[in-house]
Amino acid sequence: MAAGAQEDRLSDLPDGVLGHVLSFLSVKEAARAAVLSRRYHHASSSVQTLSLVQEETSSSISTGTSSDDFRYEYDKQEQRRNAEFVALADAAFSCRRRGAGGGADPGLRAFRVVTWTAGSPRRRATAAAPPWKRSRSTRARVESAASAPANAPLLDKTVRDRRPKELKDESDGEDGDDFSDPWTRDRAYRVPRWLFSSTSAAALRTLRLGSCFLDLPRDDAALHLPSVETLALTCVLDSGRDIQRLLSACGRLADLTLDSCRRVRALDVLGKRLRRLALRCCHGARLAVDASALRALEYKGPVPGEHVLSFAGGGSAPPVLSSCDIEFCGKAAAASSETELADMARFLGQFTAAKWLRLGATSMGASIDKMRKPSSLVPLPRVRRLELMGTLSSTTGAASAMAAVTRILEQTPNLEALTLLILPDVDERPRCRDEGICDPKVGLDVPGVVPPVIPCLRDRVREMNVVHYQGRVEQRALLKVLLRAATALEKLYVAFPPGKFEVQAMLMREIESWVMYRPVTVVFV
Amino acid sequence: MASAGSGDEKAAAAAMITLISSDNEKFEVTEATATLSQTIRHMIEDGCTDGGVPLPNVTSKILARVIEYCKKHATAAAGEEGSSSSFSDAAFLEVDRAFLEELEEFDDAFLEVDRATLFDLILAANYLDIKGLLNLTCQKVADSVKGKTPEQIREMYNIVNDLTPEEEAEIRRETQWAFE
Repeated sequence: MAAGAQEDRLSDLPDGVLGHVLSFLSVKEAARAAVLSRRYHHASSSVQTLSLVQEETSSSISTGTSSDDFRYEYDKQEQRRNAEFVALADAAFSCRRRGAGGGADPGLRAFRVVTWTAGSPRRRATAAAPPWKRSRSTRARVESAASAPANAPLLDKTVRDRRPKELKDESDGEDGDDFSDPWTRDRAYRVPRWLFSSTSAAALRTLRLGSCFLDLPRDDAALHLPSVETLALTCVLDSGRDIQRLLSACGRLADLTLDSCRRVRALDVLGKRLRRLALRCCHGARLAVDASALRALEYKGPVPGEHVLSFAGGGSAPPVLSSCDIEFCGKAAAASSETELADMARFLGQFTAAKWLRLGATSMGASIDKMRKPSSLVPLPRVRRLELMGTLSSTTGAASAMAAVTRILEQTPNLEALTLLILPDVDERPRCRDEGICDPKVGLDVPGVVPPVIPCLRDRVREMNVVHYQGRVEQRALLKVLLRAATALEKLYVAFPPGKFEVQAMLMREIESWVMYRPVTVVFV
Repeated sequence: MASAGSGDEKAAAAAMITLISSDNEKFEVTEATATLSQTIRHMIEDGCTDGGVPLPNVTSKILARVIEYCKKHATAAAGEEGSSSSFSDAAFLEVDRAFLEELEEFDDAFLEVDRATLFDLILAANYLDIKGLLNLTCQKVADSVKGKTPEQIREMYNIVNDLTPEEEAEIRRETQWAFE
C-alpha cells in the first residue's frame, strides 16, 4: 500500500478518460486544473464538454433605497454580471482553443450555455417545490422538498444529475424583452460563430443554450452540425426562422427541447426521427413532427388546439410513446370552456399508447369531470403509471376533483401505480398556512363508506404516492375515498410539506386508520 | 398476467458468453449482461466469442466487479422496455421509479471502493466501453477534486508538477479568469 501511495493514477489515465473526468467539473475548475502539470495543461484544453451556467441573481434586497433607486441598481448590477459572464465564456473558449494548439480543435462533444437575463421570463416561485421529477431515495426526496433547489441549474447534462421540475414559471405572459430590442441583444450572450462551422462542430453531439442570442451565420453553408443529437433551447428569442434553420442543420437530431422560445411559430421537424420531444411554454408554436420513433413527449402550455402538434409517420396510429408528460398551464384549465375541453380530449387521444402519463393542470384532474360526454375521453389501456398534478383546495372542491380523478381512472384499466402531486395554491403564502387549513379534528363529511367502484383501483393498483400532502379537508377527502376504493393496494407513500409535527402526526394516524387491517405498507416522508 | 412486465423475458436471455480475465479466471455471463460493453457487443456481432473472450487488461478481481455492475444494469435495461431496449438514453424518463432509486443506491454502494480499485474500474470501463460505468467512476474522481486548490489536488493524487515556475506563471495568467 505504501508503494502504491506514490503512484499518480490520475495522470496515468489515457487522454480521453482524463478529459472525461475534467468534463464533470465546472469550466472554471477544469481550467484551473491546467496548472497542475504539463499533462493537465494539455488535457484541460481537450475537455469534451463545455458547460457554462450563470447563477441566478440572489435577490438580496438592500433596504432603505427607494424602488426606483433599487431598480436602477439592480439593472446596473445585472448588466455587470452579464458582462462578466460573457467575458468568462469567451475566456473559456479562447483558452481552450489556444491550448489545443491553434489549429485542430480536439472535438467538442457537448456545449451548454445558460444565462439569466434581467426580465428573463423564467422567474421561479420559491414555494417549496416537491421535486417529483427527481428519482432519488425517499430520504433525499424529503431533504430537497424541505429546501427548494432555487439555484439548481436550469439544465443538466448528465443523467445522474436530473434537474428538478420548476413549480411554476410565469412565462405565460408576453412580458420581458426580446432580441429585437437592440439593447437586450447587445447584452445577451452571443453564441460564438465558430461553433456552427463544420470543422469545430463536427463532433458536437449536445447543444444546450439558455437565454442566448444565437446569432446564426447568414449563410446556410456555414451552418452545419452533422453530429448533434440533442438540442435544447431555453429562452432563446431568436426568430422562429432562425430556430428552424438551426434545427434543420442538426444532422442526427433525436432529442429536442424548446422551452420558452416565444418567437417560434411554425416549425417543421418532419425530416428528423425524434425520440424525445419537449415543448414547454412556447406559445403560438406549431410543430409538425415525424412521430414514428417518438418515445417520450413533454408538453407544457395551454390546452393545445388542433395544429400545435401534428404527428406524421406511422400512419394514423398514435405514436408509441412510453412516457408522456403533459401540463396544462394558466387559466385555460380552470375556466375550461367547451372548446378547450374538446381540444383536451382530442389531445389526450393521441397518447393512447403511453405507458407512463403525467397530467398536470391548475386543478387536479384538469376539470375533466366537466366534459359533457363521458365518452369523449378515450381509454388509455397501456398506462401503467399515472401521475396527476394540480391544486386540491377549496377553490377546486373535493367533489369536482374526485369526479375528474374518477373519470380518468376509469379509462386506465391497467394502472399499477398512482401518484398525486398536490400543488400549493397560487395565492397561498407559506406563512399563512396555519393549522386551520389542515386540522385533522375537522370532521370529514365524505360518504366514504360507498367508494365508487373503479376497476383498476379494485384489482390492480398496488402503489400510491401522495406528494405535498398538506392535509386540507379536500385532500383528506379525496385520499380517504381513493384508499377505500384501492383494495389491491400494497404500498402507500405520503410526503408532507414542511410543517408542524403534531399536525402531521395526526394526519398520519388518520391515514393509517383508513387502511387499518389491510396488508398495506405505509411510508411517511 | 398480473405481472406481465417482468414475465415477458426474451428467450435470447439463455445465450451465455464466457469472459476470461488476465489471470485466466473464467466468468459465465448472459449475453444481455455482456453487451453492456460495446467492445464485447461488437465481438458478438462479429461472431468471435466462441471459446470465450480473453480480456488481458482486466484482472479477475476487477472483472468480477464490472460484471456485478453490468448484471444490475442489464436487468434495468431489460425490465424497462423489453421491446425497444435500444432506447436507453431516455430510460430515466421511464417508469419504474422504485427501480431507479434502487439502481442509484446500488451505484452509490458500488463506488465505495479504495482509490486503486476505482482507477482500475475506470480503465476497465474505458477498455470495455461501458458508458454508464465510465461516467459513474469518472464523476466520482471529479467529485473528489471539486473545490480543491491545485496544491491540494497535487498532494491528493501525488501529481508531480513538471512545469517550470515561468510556465506555471504563464498558465496562471492565461487562466486568470478561472481563479477569480
